[in-house]
Amino acid sequence: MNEQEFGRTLAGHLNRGLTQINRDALDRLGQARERALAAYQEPVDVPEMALSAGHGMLSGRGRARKGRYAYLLPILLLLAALTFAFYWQSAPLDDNIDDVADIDARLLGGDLPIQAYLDTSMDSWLENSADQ
Amino acid sequence: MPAVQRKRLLGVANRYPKMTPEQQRRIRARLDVWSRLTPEQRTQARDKFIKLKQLPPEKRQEIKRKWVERQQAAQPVAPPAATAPVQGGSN
Repeated sequence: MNEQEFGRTLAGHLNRGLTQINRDALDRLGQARERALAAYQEPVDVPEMALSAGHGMLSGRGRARKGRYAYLLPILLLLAALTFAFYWQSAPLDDNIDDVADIDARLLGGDLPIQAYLDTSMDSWLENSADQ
Repeated sequence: MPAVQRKRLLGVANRYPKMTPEQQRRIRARLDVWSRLTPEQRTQARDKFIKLKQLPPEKRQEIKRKWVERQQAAQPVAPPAATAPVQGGSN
C-alpha cells in the first residue's frame, strides 16, 4: 500500500465514522464550532515599540520588511540625535575658537610681551585701575 | 598639540597678513614662548589682556609704563668696567 492508497483508505474510515456519530454528539460538535468561530478574532498587529507605530500601515510583504528593518529606525534616530548634538556643540565651539584666536593675535602682536600678562603684579594694577 | 590649540593658532595665522610689520615681528618672536605655555597660563594671559583693553587709554598706558619700569629696575646692573688696566707683575 502506497501513501495515496493509505490516504484514501483512512479517509473512507473517517467518513464512515462521521455517518455513525449520533445526533446529540453532532449538535454538541456544531455548537462548539459556532462558539469557536464567535470567539475567533482577526490577528491585530501590535506595534513592537512606540517609535515604530507608523509601521502599522504596512501589510503583506511590507510586514516582512518591517520585521527585517525595524531595528534600523532607532539607529537612524540615534544618528540624527548625535548629528544634531554634534552640530549644536561644535558651532559655538568654532565661534569661541575664532574669538579666542582674535584675542591671541592681538595679544601676541601687542606692545606688551607675554610675560607682562603672566606677571602677578599686573593683577593688582588691573584691580586698582578698575576700582578707581 | 591639541586640536583646539591648533585651530586657534591657525586663526592667528589667518589674521597675520592683515597686521602691521611690527605686529608681525612681535608675533614671530613670541609664538614660540606662547606655544610652550600651559593652557591655564594662556587663559590667564588672555583674561588680563581683556581686562587691560577694557580700561581707559590713560590707565592702560599707566599700567604699561609701570610694568616697563619694573622690568628695567629688575634687570641686573652690569658691573662697572675697569677704568685702569690691571698692572702686571713684570719688571
